[in-house]
Amino acid sequence: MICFDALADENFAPRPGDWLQQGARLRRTVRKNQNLTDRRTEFLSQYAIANANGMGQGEAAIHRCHSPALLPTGLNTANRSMEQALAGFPRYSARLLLTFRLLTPLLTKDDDPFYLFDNPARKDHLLGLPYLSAASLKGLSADAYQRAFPNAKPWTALGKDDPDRTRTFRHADPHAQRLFGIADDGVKIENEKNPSEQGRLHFSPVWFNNLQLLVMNRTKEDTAAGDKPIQFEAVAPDQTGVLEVIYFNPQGVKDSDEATARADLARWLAAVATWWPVLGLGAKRLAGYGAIQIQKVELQAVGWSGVTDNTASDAASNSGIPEYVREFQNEVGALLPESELDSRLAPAGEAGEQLKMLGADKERLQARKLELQQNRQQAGADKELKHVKKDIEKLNKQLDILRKPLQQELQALKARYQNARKWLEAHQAVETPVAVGSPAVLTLAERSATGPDSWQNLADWIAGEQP
Amino acid sequence: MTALDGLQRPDSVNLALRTLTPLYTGGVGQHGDQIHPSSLLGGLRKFSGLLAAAVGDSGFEYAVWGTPTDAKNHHAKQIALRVDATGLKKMALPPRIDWPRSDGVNRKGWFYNVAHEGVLQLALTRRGISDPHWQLLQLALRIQIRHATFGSRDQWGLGVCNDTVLPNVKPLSAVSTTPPLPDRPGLHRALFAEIQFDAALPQDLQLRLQHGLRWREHLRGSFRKSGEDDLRHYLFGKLGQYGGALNFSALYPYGSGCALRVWGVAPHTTPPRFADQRPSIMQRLQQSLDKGPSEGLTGTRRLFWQDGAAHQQDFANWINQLAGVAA
Repeated sequence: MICFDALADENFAPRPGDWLQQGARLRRTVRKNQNLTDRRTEFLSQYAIANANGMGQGEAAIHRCHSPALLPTGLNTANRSMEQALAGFPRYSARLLLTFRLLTPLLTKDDDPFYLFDNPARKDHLLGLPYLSAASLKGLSADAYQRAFPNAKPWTALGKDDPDRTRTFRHADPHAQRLFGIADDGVKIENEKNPSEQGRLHFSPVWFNNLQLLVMNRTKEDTAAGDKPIQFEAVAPDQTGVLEVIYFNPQGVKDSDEATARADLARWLAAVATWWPVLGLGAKRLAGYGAIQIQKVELQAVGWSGVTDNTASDAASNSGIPEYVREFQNEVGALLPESELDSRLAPAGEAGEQLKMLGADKERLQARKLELQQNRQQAGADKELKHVKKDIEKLNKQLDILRKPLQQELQALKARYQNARKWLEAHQAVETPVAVGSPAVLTLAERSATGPDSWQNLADWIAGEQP
Repeated sequence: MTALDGLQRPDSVNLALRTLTPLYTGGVGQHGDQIHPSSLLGGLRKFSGLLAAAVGDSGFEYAVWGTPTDAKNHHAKQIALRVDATGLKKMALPPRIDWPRSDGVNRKGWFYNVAHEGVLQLALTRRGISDPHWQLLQLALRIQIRHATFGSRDQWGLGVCNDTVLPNVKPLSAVSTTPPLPDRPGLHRALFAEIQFDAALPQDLQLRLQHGLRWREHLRGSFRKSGEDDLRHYLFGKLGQYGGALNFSALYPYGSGCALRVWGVAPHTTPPRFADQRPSIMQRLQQSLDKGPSEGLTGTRRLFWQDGAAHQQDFANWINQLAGVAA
């Protein structure tokens, strides 16, 4: 979402290749419906269609959301190592990484009141990166679970409305109750003090890179022709998504033994393995959008039996030091100097190259500027100096645009650093004596499988149905 | 006993549709670079609705295909479509096909860009529809594969697919049909025709498309009497006015020769138009198909003609024959 302040700014100049900013800019001038249609047509022809022929027909353009803003930010939690993700988690907790490929466009409706099209894809509001939200994924997997392990009664007989039926369903299935929890939805239930309960599954969003526009044109009954094309912004197909799901096992409370954790997770995984490939993900999934092809699954578990040991990670899992602290520790556990933070955010890849090029250009122009200032008596020097100054201004603006996200990221990094420092200061006295005679080591271990049946095969293995 | 005991698996119909003529489903740039599920779903919905209307099932469309979210008593589709186009490959179509019209009138011709060929995997999964509706849906699917088309531009030759393994489905019982829904397009007003040629299938795709278009031009030309403009546009479509009632395929392989198919429903709109003229329209179409265009494939050809209106007495039996599931 482009912020209103930016849109209201007369000097707001969208970046040439940025679909989202260009769309927002066009929307800014709309005052009535006809304007909106015209701006949409303009946008479609300029940005949504690639290699158009003389009649304006062409392929759907893919908008790649790569920008300096997408430098590693920690948003994509699926990229974390097993040690980072499961550090400090209680025994029998587990993490699943489910990899799939999108076969058809994925529709993820966003709530953007000021967008050029009525159906924008859901994007991170700061970075513009498309994603399928964690809440959607929880809902989609709960739906799959209800189909995979239905109640003996029909769904509609479970209550007066869906929240009521969901509650009844989960109360009747202890696995479902542990996995998804119970939402009270504000209702007061007789003889229950606190009807809500947190689920053990924790979902993360699935991030994507590419967007495209789609059009749907419903046929009118009286003419058998479509006359109102509706555009949808969608996550483009042929991308791989990785869903991270963590099962938090509250060790020490009732039903927190290994068998229970495994049974819960096996049922959840079998449900999504069985139903997601036929039902798809996202909006309009029943109409064929958001179809997935299963590619891979990785299980990472804390202290599970029968999983390949990964002893190298023992120390990390047992340290009890939060991830945000270890991020700033050196090999001996000391806090890194704050001066090293800047170097961590050195831009890489395309953005880094662009920054380097612009920096070199600026250096060259500044040298020329100095030269011209020293030789103003030369013919044409003043005129050239004027041009050079203008070019330097332009470069400064471009550099600002590229550096802004980095500065934001640096601020966030510094905030985390301060938290880490506070934590270490507070725990230093306590941590030292724990080094000798620490409690039993929890082993992190992993198991992975690939192919269209990998999710189901792993579910069978977790449940003990496969050796 | 394990945690996975009682796992319910989807009740799905899986199809591997091989394209006999290229498949096109439109797109934001009216380009066939991607396969769009909405085009395929719209076709399945329309075709199954035609069968349901013909057997008098007024609740089918609401129960199976759901409603928009702003409708009263709205609900989601009770089936799910999965589209896997990884077995298809993109192909370039001839950009334009045209030839001089016999009456000397200039025209722009027919424009194409790209489409797909290969195998399209479709899966339809039940989410809560009744057994009778599931039966109707599968019967419709079988008829659509055997006699009709998929996707868009099927009035210009595209979208014929077949599948060697069709879904197993019980035949329709005569007692389960009631009078057709009034004023709704249905298969009781459908025509299905196939013209089979002994001549070998032309290797050139442009020629295969051109033959289909010549048959279309020939039939369209038989509705050029004075005062028939509106009827002609209604039957064959006109940009910005009507979607056509009739679809014409390009030539596709058939045995050692080739074939093309013509199918449609007339009237095809709600409210219906030209309903009183239907018998004469069908008669004229059949005569034109019998005669054929002057510029066509040489050699022997056979016309297989089926008109739903001629089967009102044995309608269930006719549907079963079309679906290839005769009891």
